[in-house]
Amino acid sequence: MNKRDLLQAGFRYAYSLTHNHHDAEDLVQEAWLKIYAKKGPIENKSLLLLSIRNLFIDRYRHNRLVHFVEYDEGVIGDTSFRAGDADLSMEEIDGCLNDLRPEEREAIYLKFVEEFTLSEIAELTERPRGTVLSLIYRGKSKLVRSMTYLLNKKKEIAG
Amino acid sequence: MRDFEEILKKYYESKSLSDEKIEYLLSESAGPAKTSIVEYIAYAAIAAVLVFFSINIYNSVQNRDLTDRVVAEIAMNHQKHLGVDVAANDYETLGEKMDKLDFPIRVPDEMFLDNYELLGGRYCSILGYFAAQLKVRNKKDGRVLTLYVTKMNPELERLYPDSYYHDNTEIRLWAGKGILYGLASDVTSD
Repeated sequence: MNKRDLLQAGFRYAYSLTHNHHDAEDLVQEAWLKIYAKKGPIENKSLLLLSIRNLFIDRYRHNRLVHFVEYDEGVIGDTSFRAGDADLSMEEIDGCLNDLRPEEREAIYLKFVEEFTLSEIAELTERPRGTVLSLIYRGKSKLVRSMTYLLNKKKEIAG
Repeated sequence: MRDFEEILKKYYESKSLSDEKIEYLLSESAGPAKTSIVEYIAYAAIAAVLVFFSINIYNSVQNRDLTDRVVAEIAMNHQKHLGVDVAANDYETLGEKMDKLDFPIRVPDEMFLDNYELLGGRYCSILGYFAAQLKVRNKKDGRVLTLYVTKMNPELERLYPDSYYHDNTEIRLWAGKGILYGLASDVTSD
């Protein structure tokens, strides 16, 4: 992975945490320059993601904007989703993702975009595998519910 | 299920750092890592310690070399076994007779007086400094030894007082009351 791709991956991960372009940009910049100052040229994606995550926790937990809570494996809603012919706009997806907690968005991002395994996510986020699984299913369940609602509404209008 | 992943991937792919920001970060992280002020201070402290120890080692070597030179000179002069120019049996008389010296001739200590009998002395030099070499006889075994005396100065203060062996000669260096003493004797087999 070249450095441009590494920076983009770092930015998208930061975006999954903050859900804000400016904040994500700040996080990736600070993490990138910190690692470089301490360890020299950056080649390791895991190191970058971990550094971004630690900065995010320091910054936002300090400001009491993020409350990391433990999840039990409770009842999970329907997570099956097919968009079919209808399309959701980026703004609509953005709105659906905005309803998730940062830790849910993070788990969803790492699982479905970065395609990390459960163990890899558990290692990066320092959470038990069960908690990671719970975050993924709860996050996905919320997302599917919101997206399905929007799609049905669109179909009703179109139909 | 596939749609869900594709939608998410497409969404996050639409989020990206601007080219300007990427160029900025790449240019800031080009080449070796910049040294922080803390690292500079650490390097400076290490350098200072190294310089300190280097100077000490250098001085130590220099002082050891100076001592070796004095020891060698005393041994060489002793081995000539020159006689005395000024005969005297007590230090006060010898000091009066050797009046060109700019330091007093006196017995190093009472124990020395008990063990050695003064025979006399002659003028000489140590490292170019004006000095006297006194001949003394060991009261127990009758051996004749040479006692070198000269006035202390900053250079001679760097000598290491100790016992040395050089060219079959034992030399004992010590200092007292502003005078450097060097007692030389032949090394015997017993």
